[in-house]
Amino acid sequence: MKRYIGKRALSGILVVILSVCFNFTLIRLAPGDPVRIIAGLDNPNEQQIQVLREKYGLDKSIPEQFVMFLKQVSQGDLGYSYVSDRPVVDMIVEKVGPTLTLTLTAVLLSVTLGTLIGIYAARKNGSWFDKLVCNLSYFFDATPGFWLGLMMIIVFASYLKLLPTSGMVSLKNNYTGLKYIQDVARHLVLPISTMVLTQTPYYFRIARSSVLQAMSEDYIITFRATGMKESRIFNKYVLRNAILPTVTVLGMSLGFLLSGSVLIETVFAWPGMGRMMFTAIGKRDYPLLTGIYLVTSVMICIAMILVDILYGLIDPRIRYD
Amino acid sequence: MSLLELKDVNVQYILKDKKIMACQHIDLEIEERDSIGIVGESGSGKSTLANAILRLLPKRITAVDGEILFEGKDLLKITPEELNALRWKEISVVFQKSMNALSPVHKVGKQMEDVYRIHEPKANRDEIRKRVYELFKIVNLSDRVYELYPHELSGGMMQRVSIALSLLHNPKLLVLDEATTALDVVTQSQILQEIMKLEENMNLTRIMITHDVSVVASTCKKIAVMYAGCLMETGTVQDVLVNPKHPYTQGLLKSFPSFKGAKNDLRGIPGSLPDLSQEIQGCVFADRCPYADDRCRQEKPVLRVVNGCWKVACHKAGGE
Amino acid sequence: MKKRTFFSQFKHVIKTNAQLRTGLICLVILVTVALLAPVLAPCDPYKLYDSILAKPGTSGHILGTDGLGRDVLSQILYGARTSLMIGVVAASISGIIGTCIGGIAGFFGGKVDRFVSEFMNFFLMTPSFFLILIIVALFGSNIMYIMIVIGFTSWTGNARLMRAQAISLKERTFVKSATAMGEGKFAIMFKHIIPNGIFPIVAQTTMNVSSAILSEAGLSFLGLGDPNVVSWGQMISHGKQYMLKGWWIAAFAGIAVIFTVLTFFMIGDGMNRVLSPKMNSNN
Repeated sequence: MKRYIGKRALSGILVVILSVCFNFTLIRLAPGDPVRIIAGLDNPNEQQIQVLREKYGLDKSIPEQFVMFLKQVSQGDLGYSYVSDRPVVDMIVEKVGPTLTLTLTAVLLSVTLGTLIGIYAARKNGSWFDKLVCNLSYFFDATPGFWLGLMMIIVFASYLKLLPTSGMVSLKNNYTGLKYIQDVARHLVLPISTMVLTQTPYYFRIARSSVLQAMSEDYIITFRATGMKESRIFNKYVLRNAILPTVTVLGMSLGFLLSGSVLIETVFAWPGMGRMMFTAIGKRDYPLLTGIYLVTSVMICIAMILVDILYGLIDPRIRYD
Repeated sequence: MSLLELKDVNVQYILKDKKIMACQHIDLEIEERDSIGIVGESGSGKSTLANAILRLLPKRITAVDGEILFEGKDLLKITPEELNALRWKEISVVFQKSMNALSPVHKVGKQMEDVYRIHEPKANRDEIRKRVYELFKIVNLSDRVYELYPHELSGGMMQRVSIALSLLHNPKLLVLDEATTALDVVTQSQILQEIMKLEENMNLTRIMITHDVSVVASTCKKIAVMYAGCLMETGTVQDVLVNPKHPYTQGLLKSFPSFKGAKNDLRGIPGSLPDLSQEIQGCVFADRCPYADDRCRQEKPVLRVVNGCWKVACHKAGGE
Repeated sequence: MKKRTFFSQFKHVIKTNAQLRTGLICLVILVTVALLAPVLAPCDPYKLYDSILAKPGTSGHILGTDGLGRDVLSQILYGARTSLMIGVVAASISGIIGTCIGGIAGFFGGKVDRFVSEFMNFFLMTPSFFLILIIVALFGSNIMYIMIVIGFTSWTGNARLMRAQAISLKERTFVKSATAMGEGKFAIMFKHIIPNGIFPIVAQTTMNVSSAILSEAGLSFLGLGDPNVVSWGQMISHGKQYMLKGWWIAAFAGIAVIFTVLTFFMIGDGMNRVLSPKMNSNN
């Protein structure tokens, strides 16, 4: 078990390094000179540009820059943002909280909701409820989250004036303590609802089809033949077997989710990493961009390893080797 | 009174655009401490019949009618609760595909414990464990299987686990649905010997569903031959196998190497199973029968008594 | 069983599979709209009319005009072209890459397989939308780039399917006999493995058209769409600026996206049901 985790972690680190290396090269191969952007529009002279170039190490070749970058990272330093001249680490730490609050809450809610509805629908297979939620899941799966968010803002915030339209806190009042949490929660309602509505279908369909799959397995007939109560067969054996695929996709969807949050964060002006990354792209802020990419990769990697371990714990057929 | 009595049992599979008659007009009596082998080629409806007796066929796509009397109670009419009380305690079964007979993510022992508690809710763990070890011994499995997962066992071991599971509550009636077919010959005969010993000691009645006539010949008292959902011939093994009356039984025996050692005259029966979604007017075997005449094609033969419990459904056979 | 002609088989499938039927009807509508956009559109989608932010149904604009006075309905009709093209091309790219890589991994097995599997893991762990974003933003939002980038970042699902297909197909007798007859590995792969295992990938690719359309809409929403074409994502992005005064701009474009995505879902899902009748009986 320990060896397995070690091995997974090692390959995870390798993937992260490769991924960041790829990203690093890609960003630096892109057209557009960051130095000219940093120096501003007021036609800087060549000397100024040269100074800036040296300051940020941009005069070196890409492999040299990468080695420098790796050295920095190993010391927990991600460099300074070209634009704001602040440490990238600080900037990211500021934004990680809001992004994780948003995505993790949304994931937890949609997994729970989707799985529960999926199980219930599978149990009532063929009923009107089953048909209704199946069609709804189709519909919401086809709906772009950012559009749904926009519509929610128009309806709930602009017309009904029930909820705040954007941001994470009210700027007018400086709430503290419990009031602050309440305020954030109010701001969370719309973005979370949007994400839950568009992601629940995914988990719903997986739960429903794996329950149906498990119910058609041979061992269910065995238990039925032994006179076991249907409820016990379902609660103990069907559910336990049907939960496995949900765990698998959970790991895979996290990466998609974290990077997809950029859209939801943009719609709701949520002060998270996605939006910061989007601004960084526009300004060619290389260190910030690479930093965000690195942090996101590491988070995805950790999530996948955790899911792998969890999977190993609940499925005895997985061997740690 | 017989232990199990089937009266005019019909089983239909209802599909979107057609109905398939999987079992037709089955009449069969099984006495206590009998052992009966139901034989027939694949698709003859023998497994369907076994599942119908246990009411395990999917309700939505099957229709079963007739009477299935177990100790006088009609299994088709009793409530699900009564049925559940009867299952495994009185009638248990070993299924064909034993590799998937247990949940892959629970330990074998835990699942057997669970099954034991269905009828003995107050049983404690040690008691159950003792019982399971006892059964493992009978089927020649080591105790450590208790702590293993199904995927850690071989096909043969899982088969033996299934057999042990079926004996958990000392049932009166045991249905073996191709249960030993996948085992090697040595293990097969070993297990069957054990089961036969149990029959003597514990009043066990056995229905064995198989396509292997030689197994029936060596381990069963009676035999029932099925073809295309119909019962062709039934009686004691001595009568039916030594002097088969029905042309199908005769053909079936010729297609197996003789268990007495003579290797000559090994033949298949020409033709194949009829389309069971169509109503067949006469005898279901008429198309493949070498002796069939016009009467066979128009009139359905009924089971007629040849001698004692020896019955045959053929116009041509048993004229006396 | 009688051998049925392709056409009669197709007719049978359409008759029994409601999803596929509805999906195909919607697809025909979509393609017609895309092809006949110049004929069907009441106005020029690029022209700036005087009536800015006209409500739906007023001053001759059925679905109103946007913040610059462009006709919303005409933009939606022309937008079908962009979405369909991006969806189909990007999904095809990912289908082809996935088939080749998955086929090689499954058929050759061993070290090749292990390498490819690790490579796929690597792709799974990269935040794909970030990647698309970075590439498109830094290298330019040309429609060609967008299609290629989406295609290159979404092939893993196809590869996994094809790998499984290849692994099961290579054990089949006809492949073994081809090997015994001395056919080359690549010849076998392209002559036997891929043609016999392609159908699930076709179904998957149809589904991928949907996700490619959604990705493009997302990019356009962030202002990274190709500025030279009309696209639904750009309309939604534009609508966001006029959220309070012109809800219709984003609303109708979004409905168009949903309709298109649903169409491909239904076709893909319908095909999957044809493939596995078991799933059909479950529903």
